[in-house]
Amino acid sequence: MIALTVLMTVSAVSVSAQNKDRRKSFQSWDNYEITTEKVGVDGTKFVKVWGFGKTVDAAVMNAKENAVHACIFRGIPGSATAMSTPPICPNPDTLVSNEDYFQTFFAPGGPYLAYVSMTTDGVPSGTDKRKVKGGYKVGIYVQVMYDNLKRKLEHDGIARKLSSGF
Amino acid sequence: MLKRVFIIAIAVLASSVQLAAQAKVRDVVTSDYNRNSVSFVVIQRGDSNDSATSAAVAAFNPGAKFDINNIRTKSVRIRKSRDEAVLQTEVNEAVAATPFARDILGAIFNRDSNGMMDDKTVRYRGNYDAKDQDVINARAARIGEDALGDLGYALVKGSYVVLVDYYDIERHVDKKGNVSYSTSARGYAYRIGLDDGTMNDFYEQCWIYDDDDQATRSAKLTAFQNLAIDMVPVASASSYSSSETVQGAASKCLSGIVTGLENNISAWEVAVAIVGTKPLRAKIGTKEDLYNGARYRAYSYTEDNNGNLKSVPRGYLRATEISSNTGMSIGETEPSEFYQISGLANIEEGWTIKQSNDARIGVMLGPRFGAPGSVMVGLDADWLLNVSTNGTMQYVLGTLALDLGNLNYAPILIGLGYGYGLHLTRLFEFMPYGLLGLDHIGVSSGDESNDRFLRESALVLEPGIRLCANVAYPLQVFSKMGFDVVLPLGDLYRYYNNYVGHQTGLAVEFGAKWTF
Amino acid sequence: MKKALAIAALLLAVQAIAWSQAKKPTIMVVPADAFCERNGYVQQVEAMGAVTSTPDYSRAMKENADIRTLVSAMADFMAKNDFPIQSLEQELKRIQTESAEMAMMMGKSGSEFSETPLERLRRTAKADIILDLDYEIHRVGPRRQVSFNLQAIDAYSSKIISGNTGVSSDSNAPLTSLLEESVLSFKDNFLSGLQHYFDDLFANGREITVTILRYDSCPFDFDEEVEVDGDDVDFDEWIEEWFQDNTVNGRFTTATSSANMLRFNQVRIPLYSQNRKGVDVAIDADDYVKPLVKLIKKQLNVPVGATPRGLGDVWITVGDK
Repeated sequence: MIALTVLMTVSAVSVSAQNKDRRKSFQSWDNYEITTEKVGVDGTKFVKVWGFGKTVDAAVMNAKENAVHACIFRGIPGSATAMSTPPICPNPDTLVSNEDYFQTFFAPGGPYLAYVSMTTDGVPSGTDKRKVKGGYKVGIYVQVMYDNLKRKLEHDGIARKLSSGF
Repeated sequence: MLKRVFIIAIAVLASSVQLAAQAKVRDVVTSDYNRNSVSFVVIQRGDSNDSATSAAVAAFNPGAKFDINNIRTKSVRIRKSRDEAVLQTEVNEAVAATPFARDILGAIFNRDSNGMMDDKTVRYRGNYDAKDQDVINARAARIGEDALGDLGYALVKGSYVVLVDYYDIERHVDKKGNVSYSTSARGYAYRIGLDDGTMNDFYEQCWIYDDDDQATRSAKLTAFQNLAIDMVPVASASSYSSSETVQGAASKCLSGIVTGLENNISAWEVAVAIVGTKPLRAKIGTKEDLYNGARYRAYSYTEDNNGNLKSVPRGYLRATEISSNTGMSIGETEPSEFYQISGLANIEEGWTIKQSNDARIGVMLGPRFGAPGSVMVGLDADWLLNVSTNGTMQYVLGTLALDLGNLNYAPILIGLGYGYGLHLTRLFEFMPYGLLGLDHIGVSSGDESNDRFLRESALVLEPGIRLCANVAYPLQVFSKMGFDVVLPLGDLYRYYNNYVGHQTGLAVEFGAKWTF
Repeated sequence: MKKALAIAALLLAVQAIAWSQAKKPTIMVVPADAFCERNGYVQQVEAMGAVTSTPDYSRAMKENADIRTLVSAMADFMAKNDFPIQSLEQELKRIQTESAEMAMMMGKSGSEFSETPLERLRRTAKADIILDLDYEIHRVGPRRQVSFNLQAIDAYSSKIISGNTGVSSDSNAPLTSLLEESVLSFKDNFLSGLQHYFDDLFANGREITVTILRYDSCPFDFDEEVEVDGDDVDFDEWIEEWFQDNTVNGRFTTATSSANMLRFNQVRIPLYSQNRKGVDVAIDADDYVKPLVKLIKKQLNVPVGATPRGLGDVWITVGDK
C-alpha cells in the first residue's frame, strides 16, 4: 500500500513536471526556421520548416508543429516571389490567454495535424537531415492548410473573423 | 638520428592530415546534382591526323547522363607538332578566341538565322532533370507542374565544352605485319561563365520578341554578336589508347577522358539521397549512366552549435540492381539498389551518396607458403565483374607468385581464375575461387624451340577460399588458402623441378589489398 | 492585467456593435490610374476649358481579360471571407444611365465643385474601400513575370489601408496562373491589413474631412462673433464645439482656420447613426454634416449648402448653396 502511494506520488510528480516542461517550452517556443518555398495552391502555404528531436521522426513531428505554430503566432517570411504571410493571431497574448486550448491543439497527435501535410519525398534527406547535439535537426517541405486553420480558429473563438463586428 | 627523422615525419604527416581535414570542412558534399550539358570539340594541329581525330570526336556520345549541346564550332586549331601535348595556356587562348558561350546559348535556345530563339530545349531539359521532390513541390505550388520546365533555365549554367587534344600518335607494326596505332589524349573542360546577372542581360539585350520593330531587332542581333561571356577552365584529364586505326584509338580515349573529368569536376559526379534501406535504394538509374558495380560514397551531416554544417564520409557502396528511369519523373521514380561495402555504421535513409569512380580492381601483395614453392611472394589482382544486392560479388582473378627460395631458377606461377564472393557482413568477404595457371621454371638457355615455354611449365589447378576484411577501405587484409594440383606439362619442368622442388599441396597466402 | 482589461473592453465594444447587426463595408476593385494610362485606357475630358485625361474604366474592364481574372480571383477570396466585392462593371453601367441626369444637373451651382470620375464613382457606388489595382507583365526572355501593386484605400479619408507590392514567379506558365499566383501571394497580407483597419474603425470611427467655405454673400467672417441662442460666440469656435460634441472621442483636427475657410480633417465620425425610424444606417460625410448644416441655417439664418466630394470629404458653403 505504501509502495503504491509512493509510486502514485512519484508518477504524479513526474507528470506535473512533464506538464511544466511542456508549458515552459510552449512559452519560449520561437526557436525555429521557416521559409516560404513558393506561393501554394489556393488556401495553403507551401513552406520549408525545420524541427528538432531526439530521433528523425520526432524532429519531423516537431517541424510540423512549428509550421502550424508559425501560421498561428509568428507569420511566415516571404521569398523573392511570394509575399510574407501574417499570423492568424497577431495578438501576442493569444497563446497565454488560451493556453489550455493550445495545449490540447498541439498535443501529440492533436488536432494541429489535420492542417499540415508533409510534401518531402520520403524522409528528410541530404543536408535537410543533420545530426546535432542531442538529436537531429531536419528540414521538411510542408503544406499548411492556412485557410482551414484560420476558419477552425475563428470557429473556436480564438481568432476573430474579418466580418465579425458587422 | 633515426628517432628524430621519425618524429619529424610524424609531425609532417599529422599537419598534412589536419590540412586535408580543414579543406574538407570547407566543401560540404551535398545531394544537389543536376544534369550537365556538354559539347566535344577537337583540337586540330593542321596535320594528316586531323580528319581521323575530328571524326572520332564528332561521333562520340558521352552517355545518357549528359545532354548534348550541338554547337556550331566543332574544332579549334592550334599549330603545334603532334609530338608534344598542347599547353593549358594555349588551349585557353584558343578558347578565348572562339565564341563558345554564344555558340552554346544559340544551340540551347534554338537560335535561327533571323536571330529568333525559343526555350523548347530548356523546358524539355528542365522536365527531364526534374526529381521526384521537384514534381511533388510543383504540385504544392500554385504555378503547378508548368514550372517544372522552368528548372531548365538553371541548367544553362551547367554547360561545358571539352576540347580534346591528341598527341604522340604512333604507328606500330608487329612481327606478323599487323599495323596498329596508339595515341595519347587530353581533354580540357570549360564551363560557361554565366550567373543570374549575365543571364538576365542576355535576355534583356539579345532576346527578340515577335512584336519588336526592325530597329530593336537589329540592335538585339548586334548585341548577340557582341556577347562576351567567358568560358571558365575547370579541369583536364588524360587518356591513352590504341587500335587498328587512328580514329579507333582516338575514339577509345574519349570515355577515359570523361571518367577522368568526372573525378575532377564535382558537378559531374552524380549525388543523390538514400531513400530506403534493406536493401539500400536511391533514385538514380540509367538516366545517370549508373552501372552495376559503380562505386558511390555515403555522407551524413552534422551541425555544430554555431550552425556550421559538415558532411561526414560514412563508407562506400556499389550499385547492384539498376532501374530504368529515362522517362520524365511523375513523382514515383523507381530506385536502383545498392550494397554497402565499407563503413562502420549502416548507411541510413536520407544520407547523401556521391559518385566516387574506381577501376574496380583490387591488388593484393603478401607472402605465400606451401605449394607449389615453399616460400613465395604473391601479387594478386581481382577485377569486380558484378555485385548483387545481397552482397555476392563475382570476380575475375589474376595471380602471380615468385618463388623466393630458388631465384636463380626464376620459378613463377601465373594464373587466371574466377571467384564468387559472399558477404555475411560488409566487413568480411568469404570467397570460394578457382584458378587455372602455369608454374614456370625458366633458366636462361640457348634453346629457341617453339614449345620450350610449355616444356618448362606445369599446369596448376588451385581451388580455394579467400577471406578479406576491411581495415580502412580501400585498404583490406586478406588471407587465402588453396590446394594446388601441379601437373607438369613437359620434360624441362620435371628436370628443373628436381632442384626447385615444386609440388602439389596446400598453399596459404596473406597480406594487404588495395582497391583502385 | 491592464492589457487584458483593454482587450476585454475592446471585445465588449465589438460585441456591442455586432449586436446592432451593422452594415458591412463594401469593397470595390478599380484599376489604378497608372495601369489605365500605360495601357491606353484613358479618355480626354474637357472641363473648365482645360483638357484632362481620365481613366476609362469601362474600356479597361471590357478589353482586358487579365484584369477580369484578377478581379474574379479577388472576389473569390473576399466572398469566402463574407465580403462580397462590388462589381465595378455593374456600377459603371448604372452611372452611364445616370449620366444624362447628371449632365442636366450640372451648372446649378456654377459647376465649381465638379467631381472627378473616380470621386463620382466612389460616391455613387458608395464603396467604403477602394482596391486600387496595378500590375505589369514583364518579359524575361521566354519567361514572364507579373509585378503587382494593390492598395486598399479608405474611400472616406483617401488614406491607404494596406499596400501590397510584389512579383510572381518568372515562368513560362500560362499568364492566368501567374496572375492568380499574384493574388494568392498578397491575399493574406491584404486581409490582415483590412482586419487592422476594421479594428481601428470600430475603436475610433471613420475618418473624414470637412471644409467650410464662406461666400461673399455671407454676412459674417468666420473669425467674427455671431449670435447663437442669445450668446455671442466666435463662429469658428462654435463650429469646433459642435465637432467636439459629435465626433468619436472628440477626435478631429482643425487644419485651417481663416476668415473665409475652416478645414477639419481626421474627423472621426461614428460608423452608423440612427435614421428617423431608429434603424442603424451607415453614414458618409454628407450624411454626417446634415445636422450641422441645419443648425447653421437655423441659428444664423443664412443659406447653407453641402457638396460631397466622395464619401469622406464634404464642402459646406455658407452664404449660398
